Amino acid sequence: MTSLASAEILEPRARGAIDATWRELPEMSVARGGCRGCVLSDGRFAVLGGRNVEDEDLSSCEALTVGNKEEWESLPSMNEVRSSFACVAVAGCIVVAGGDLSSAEFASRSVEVFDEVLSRWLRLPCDLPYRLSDMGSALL
Amino acid sequence: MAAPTTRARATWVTDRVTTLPEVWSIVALHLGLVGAWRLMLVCKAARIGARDFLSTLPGLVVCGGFTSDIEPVKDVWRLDLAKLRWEAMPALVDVRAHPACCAVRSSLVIIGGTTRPSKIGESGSVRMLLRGDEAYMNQPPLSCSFLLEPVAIAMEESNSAAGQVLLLGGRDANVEAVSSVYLVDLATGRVHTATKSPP
Repeated sequence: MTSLASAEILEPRARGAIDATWRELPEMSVARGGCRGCVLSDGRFAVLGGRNVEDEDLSSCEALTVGNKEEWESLPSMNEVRSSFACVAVAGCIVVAGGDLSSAEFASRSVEVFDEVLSRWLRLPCDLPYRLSDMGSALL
Repeated sequence: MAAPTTRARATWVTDRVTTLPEVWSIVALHLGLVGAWRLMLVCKAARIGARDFLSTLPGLVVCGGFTSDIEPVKDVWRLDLAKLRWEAMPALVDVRAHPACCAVRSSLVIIGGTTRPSKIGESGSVRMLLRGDEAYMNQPPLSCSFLLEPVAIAMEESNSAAGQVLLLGGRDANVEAVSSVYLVDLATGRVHTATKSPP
């Protein structure tokens, strides 16, 4: 499977309208299959981890400002490489858990949080109950 | 009794205010998740206030997935952000990985998934866990063949009885990437083609 670096945005023609059009955005710095994305509290769209075209899992992250000057800027990398992991944005932070690893262990148990104010990733002392990847995730 | 001096009054007010957990709860709100955790180390009132704030936050729910042995699971876990502890939620009826998952009107919605790596989902089943319930409700299955690994986004402003979910992209029965965008009505399972992304 080919990883892509391209990005698109779906823009409804009116608030709540179903009909909408896709517009191409600038490409990310690297192709990312199995990456995860979320909206930061300042409105930027962050993309985390994934797998590059060499099938290597990534820890790098970047964020896109949508609006007048659309460009990707790098964010600090996660402490672990991850693809196909759980990800949510909440209260000025991004929380990620589990995911594929580029190692014999296949999947991760670790949980990390990105603090938008500190612009730092911190490892949380609450690993998943077991190694897990390719799960669904939601904020509830 | 003589009125306290301005400095004494300020000290008195500061002492009183910093003993109010409600004040620390407001501080925690502005500091965010990590700042609130740090506040819990300041003093007892700060700990209570920060915990009050943290207890209002939703948690990270993970459902299904593959273990390190590439075995699919049916467990559902929720990370309580106040306690930093994983808590078991009602397990799915069947194992699945790569499900589409999102929260709709405080309910957990899980759509499709697969039981084997790199295989298409066996069904377009839709499960819904209402807040406080112990078992998943079977919603009408999708009226289209299910896609593997689509992204699910709740449409909060819909008029549907059970809400709507936007399913973007994913992979088809040949495990090929697709550009389809579907709007799913959870009450009926009906799927509308919303739009297509550029090829």
